[in-house]
Amino acid sequence: MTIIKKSSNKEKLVVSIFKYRYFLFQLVKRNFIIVYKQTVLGRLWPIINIFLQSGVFTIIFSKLLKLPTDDVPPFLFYMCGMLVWFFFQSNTLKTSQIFTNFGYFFSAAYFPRILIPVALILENFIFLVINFFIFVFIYLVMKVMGYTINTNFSLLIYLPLIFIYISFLSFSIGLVISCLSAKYRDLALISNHGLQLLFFATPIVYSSQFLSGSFKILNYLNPVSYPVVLIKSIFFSTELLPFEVLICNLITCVVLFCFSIFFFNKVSRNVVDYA
Amino acid sequence: MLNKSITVKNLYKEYEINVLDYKSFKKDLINFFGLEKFFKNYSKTQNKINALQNVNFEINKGDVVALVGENGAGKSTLIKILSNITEPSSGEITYEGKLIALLTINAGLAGDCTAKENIYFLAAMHGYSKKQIDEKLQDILDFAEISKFVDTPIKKFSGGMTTRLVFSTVLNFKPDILIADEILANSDDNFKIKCIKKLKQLNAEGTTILFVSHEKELIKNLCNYGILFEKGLTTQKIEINDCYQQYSEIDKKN
Repeated sequence: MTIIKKSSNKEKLVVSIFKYRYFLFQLVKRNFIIVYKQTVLGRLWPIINIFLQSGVFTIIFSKLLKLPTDDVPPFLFYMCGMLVWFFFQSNTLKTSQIFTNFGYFFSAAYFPRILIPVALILENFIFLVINFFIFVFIYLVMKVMGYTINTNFSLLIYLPLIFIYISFLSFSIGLVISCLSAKYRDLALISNHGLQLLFFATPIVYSSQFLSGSFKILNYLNPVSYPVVLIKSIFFSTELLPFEVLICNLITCVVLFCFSIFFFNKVSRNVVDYA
Repeated sequence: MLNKSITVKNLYKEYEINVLDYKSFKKDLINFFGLEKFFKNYSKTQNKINALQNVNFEINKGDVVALVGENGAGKSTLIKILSNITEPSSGEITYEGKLIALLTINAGLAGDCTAKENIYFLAAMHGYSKKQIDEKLQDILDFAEISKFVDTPIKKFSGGMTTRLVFSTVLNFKPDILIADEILANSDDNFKIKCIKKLKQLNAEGTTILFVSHEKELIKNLCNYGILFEKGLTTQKIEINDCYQQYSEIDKKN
């Protein structure tokens, strides 16, 4: 027997994902099919994107502005940071727009609402894996060609943890933005600029050693910094941030995640009335 | 003794009808932080409308009930609450078994995906597993008469074909309660007759059906009870002919 009344619909995250796992699979599959329909190059696009972006950065930041890259080949240096950033940015942006982009799903039938953002993250994860292998391929090619690149094998086991951390962080930030902008959409319009600011606040196109004074403190507070510095440290043996920064970031992430789930459950119940 | 299928008790649903701008934003903020007493000009009167006002009725297992009323009388609101898409403002609904509501045809379909992909997606959205869908796939295609077009992207389908696909998918899973909101409107007569036949067959097997349509003949053919909606107020479940008699009286008044 099912009972419907005000605030009766409390979703249990793990249980509902398990129960509707086949729908989750279908959602990921569908998004994956639709994205690059009617393009000639199809699935090659995400790969081209990261290439173009790293190429542009190499020209502007390395050749033109002559920013140091810790003695790492610039193209590889930027590509490594972009691997993490693309995943973070794409997750956050897509999750923050679920109520506007998937509103028609919400008014079509009942299913656990949380599946939509989870599906988006999983979909981006597929592209991340593709990008990662491209990166590793170029990395190995450059190493064979004789560039001095030192892999820090002792940190290699942390690699998957970086992406799990980024998934949770971007999922939480995206959900909070989507909830805050469900009724009044102002925040959604400004989030693009916020992400741009965060991009330059994160040591992607420069090295974290480059920073000093209050910028250094800001860098420690930025929850995306540590994973970017860590992945560079894995592939290029550059210096890590202090351990305390990691603890601080993890706490931020956990708090944000819990808050976002609570907030989302509250907002998504009646969102079809005004979104 | 008859089994209760759906029970609706003291159901209310409020909607805001104001424009969302900085004024409503200010009000929402004041409400959110509970600061009413600090703002002198604050008026508690929000622009709200009751889409449903104290709705009470009971439906037994195996009933076929028509929801009758003018546009904006609250039929779709009730269906949205029944299907758990939105919450009631107060009141309670209880029901038994698996409920599927068809509110709009195109929601959840992707034009770039094939008929087969869309069937799997739709059924998964209603909570069915891959195994269950595999078993029903052929029945669904046969009933919708689209076996030839399994691998055709549905953006090439006509409106009627799309309706057939959606309706067929849901009907073949035999839910305990089926709710359909004006979805046969753009089907041809042949498919309508086929659907009515199928609905009657489902009903004979125990499915409770709630049906919304503005076609009087179709409803009189299918339904044995009706619930009349007028501006958010409803009657109890009554005989379908009585329902239409009362409806025509409302029409005359206006």
